[in-house]
Amino acid sequence: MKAVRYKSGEIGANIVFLLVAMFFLTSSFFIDAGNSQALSSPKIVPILLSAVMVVCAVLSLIEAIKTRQVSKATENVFQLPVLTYVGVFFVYVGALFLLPFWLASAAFLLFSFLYWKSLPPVKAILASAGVVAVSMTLFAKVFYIDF
Amino acid sequence: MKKLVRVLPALFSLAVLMAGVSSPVGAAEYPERQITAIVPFAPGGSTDIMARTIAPLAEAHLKQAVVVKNVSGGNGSIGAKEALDKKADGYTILVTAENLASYRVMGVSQLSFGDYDPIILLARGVPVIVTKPESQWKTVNDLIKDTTQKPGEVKIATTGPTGVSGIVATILGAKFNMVPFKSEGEIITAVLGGHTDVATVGLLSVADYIKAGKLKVLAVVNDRKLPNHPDWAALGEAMPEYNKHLPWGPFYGVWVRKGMPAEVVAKLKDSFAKAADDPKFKEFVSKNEMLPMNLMGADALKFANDFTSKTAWLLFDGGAAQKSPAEFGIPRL
Amino acid sequence: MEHLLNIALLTAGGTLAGILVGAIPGLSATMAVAILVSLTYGWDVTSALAVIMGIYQGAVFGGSITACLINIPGAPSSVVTTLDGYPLAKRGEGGIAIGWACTESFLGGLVGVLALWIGTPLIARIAIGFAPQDYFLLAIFGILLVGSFAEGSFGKAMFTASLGIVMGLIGLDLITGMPRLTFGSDLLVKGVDLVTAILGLFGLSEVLYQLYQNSSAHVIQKVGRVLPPLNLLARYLPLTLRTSSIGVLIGALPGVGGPIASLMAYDHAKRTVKNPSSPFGEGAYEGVVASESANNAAIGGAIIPMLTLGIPGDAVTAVIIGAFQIHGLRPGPMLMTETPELFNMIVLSLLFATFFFLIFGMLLIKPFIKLVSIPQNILLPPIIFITVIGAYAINSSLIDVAWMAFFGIVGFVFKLYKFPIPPMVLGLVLGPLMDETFRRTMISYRGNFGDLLGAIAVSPISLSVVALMGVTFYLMFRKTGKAKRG
Repeated sequence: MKAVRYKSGEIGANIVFLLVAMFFLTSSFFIDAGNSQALSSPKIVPILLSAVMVVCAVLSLIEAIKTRQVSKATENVFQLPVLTYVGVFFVYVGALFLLPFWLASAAFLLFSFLYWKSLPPVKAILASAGVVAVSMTLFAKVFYIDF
Repeated sequence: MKKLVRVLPALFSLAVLMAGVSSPVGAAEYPERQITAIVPFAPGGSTDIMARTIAPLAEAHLKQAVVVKNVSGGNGSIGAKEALDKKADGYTILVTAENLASYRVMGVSQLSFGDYDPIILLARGVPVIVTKPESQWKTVNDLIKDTTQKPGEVKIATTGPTGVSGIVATILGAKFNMVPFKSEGEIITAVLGGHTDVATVGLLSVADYIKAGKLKVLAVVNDRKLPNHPDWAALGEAMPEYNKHLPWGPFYGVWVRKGMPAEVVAKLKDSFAKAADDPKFKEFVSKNEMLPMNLMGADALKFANDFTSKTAWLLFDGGAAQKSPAEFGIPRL
Repeated sequence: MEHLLNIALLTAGGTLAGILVGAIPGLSATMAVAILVSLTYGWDVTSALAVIMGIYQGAVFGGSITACLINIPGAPSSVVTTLDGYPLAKRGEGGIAIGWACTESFLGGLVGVLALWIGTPLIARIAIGFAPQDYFLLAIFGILLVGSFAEGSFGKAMFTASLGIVMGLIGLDLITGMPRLTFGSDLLVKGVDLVTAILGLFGLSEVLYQLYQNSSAHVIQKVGRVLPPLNLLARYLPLTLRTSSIGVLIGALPGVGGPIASLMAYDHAKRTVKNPSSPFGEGAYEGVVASESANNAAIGGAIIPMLTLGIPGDAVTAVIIGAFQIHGLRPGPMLMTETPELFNMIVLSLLFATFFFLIFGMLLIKPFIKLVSIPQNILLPPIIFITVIGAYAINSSLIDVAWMAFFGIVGFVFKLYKFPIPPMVLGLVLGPLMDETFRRTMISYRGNFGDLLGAIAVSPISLSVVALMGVTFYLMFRKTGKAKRG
């Protein structure tokens, strides 16, 4: 069951890569070349390399369809906890635009420690506050980064 | 979990405390904190050096730190945009070069000098036309004659069509084979290594090579000779037909976004005018082979507008720009 | 004497800071030096240069620490070190991997300083002869080499390399001066920021992948001994000297620095070492030896064109040129005759820094390893936070953080389906170079291939580059041919 799901996942990913390659190939044809000559046109390298991408993506797709074996490390692609965590990470990146940098970061770290059961709650709060305070002070004072 | 509930309010109050500390208190006379000077180019470039020279001198009169921040990319348009997006409170200023003149016709961005108010135009650089000492051309007239006789044979190194050297090459006429390079440093190697025949470069970048006898000057791109170098021919004197485009070259100025309070602009103008009058700055300008400008107010605006007209139409007539300057209401001089 | 002591102390401080900066993923030598350049504005030029040279040497070595221990190159020049350094750490030899990185960086650094000292006038003459077509050939050479060292199939490697190249071309086109592949967006005019991309592709994606693999094992396994055995050090000395020379030569080429130098050196080692301690890519000491000696040797190389021509050998020296100019000095043909003491100062600071990072590196490995031996589920979330800070720090821009997150997800998906990531990063670096030099050549010869071939045929530099490529690919194809038959 897992193998089947992994395989359809791999084929799906390869199709996405092929679409990306085709997107860049089409976009390359629409680059504004101004009055440049054919060989020095800004289009030439993007078109050639996107074409290479399309060929490589097709080869990789064929390979994915043909292959029966599924490597052990990639069996469990649809791990819900990791996907959820990736989702939370994106919420964090979005929150950076709305909340103060330290608040969003501390909240994210606290969530992470509790989510992965790394630390008991009190330690988690101390650790997340500590990490944020130390790194931000360091960066602000030593590297003059303006948060 | 219970512990968590107990600790969270404590954390929250800590947060409120921290936020309270960083918020501004009361209003006082401008400037009450440090001013950020955005340089839309990488550290070490001529605009960056200019900004880092004038900033400490202006600091003395503003009584606040002026911190240079490099926001490079997009030929200077990224940093110029950032200066425009910040609050019109006088705490963000823009130190930039001539590039704002070409963004619109080149389709780089919608920004132009019209989006900013000039504080002061500090100085301008002079481009020179250089070649190897053993070159067959003795004067700039020989060079131009050759390009008319053998169109496309003479290779000239530029920093792309919108760079100083690209526009000077356009001024000289389109019969060159323009070979674009990334930086003035690369241009100089291209000429030294014999990969191109001539180059137009800011004098500052090649002064040492000329002194060392590795390059020779065919002409300075100016309407008259330079006071420091009376032995070099001036393009406008050698070939008067080019005078309508001259002087043309990079210039450096301090700008603020439109809509600043009048007293803020006045304070900035006063401080930067004093800074530009400092002997240290004058010495810097002369040592770096530039010509002082010190234009403010209406004079600065007129210079920038005329410059935009010249540049935009040169780019359009030379075929580099796809959009006509007329689209943006840029008049032909 | 007091002056010398001063220089030594400043260099020591710079080196220590450099190692830490280099070890923190996302803080590169380029960034640290750029910040230092503005901080030391008020200092005298020799003190500023002492700190900067210390940072430069320290950071290039420091990048190898995380490259070995958590498979995240702390700096771009350590990308190749991950290939063998991380497998070594995985089998419990993390300490010795860093030990090798440290001693070899030291030896490479010495060779670099020596080359800088004696080779300056010589290299200047070679570098000036490089025509656009020679740069183009070198870029193609680099991109094709990507296929040979990447894990996974050649097709997948070429896919990620091409994606990197095409993404590297997003932004303002130098030659037409117009935006390219920006889809009308102001955000894209600036192009893809290399450091942001590296943070996402190497930092975030690795953390996500580690979480995904859900192994309860630590990121860092057993450390073991640190000091490499002396007899092995002697045995690898010939290889060290060869790869250091490659590092110096590649570093001296304008625009190509440590990352390409270590790549070339690694390829050289892969081809010439018949019986490596383990197969390359699975924890060969020789891989770490080649990569780390070359990237520190490249520093000396990169400074040569900067001093003699004012042309940066890599990104860091480009920033150092800025430091010179802030202090009213202009690197170029006149610098050596006007201020010869400055050249001696640079050589001396670099030499000091080389010894300092050997000492600090050896002493700091244990504390540093302790720091990263913290259990994975405690260590990984703060690493995510550091990559976020790192991305933000480049321009104080949250948009960059979003970019980093985007590249992190791209990298994560690539990792899941065995698409190698290093080719993509090299593509981002080499793509613009290749595009630019190809079109510059075509403009220069007005599309006339006859003239171009004529120029290549009479230029000793072009012929050497072509010969180098020919020999490399002959050896590569013969090897793969053998592998297929066997």
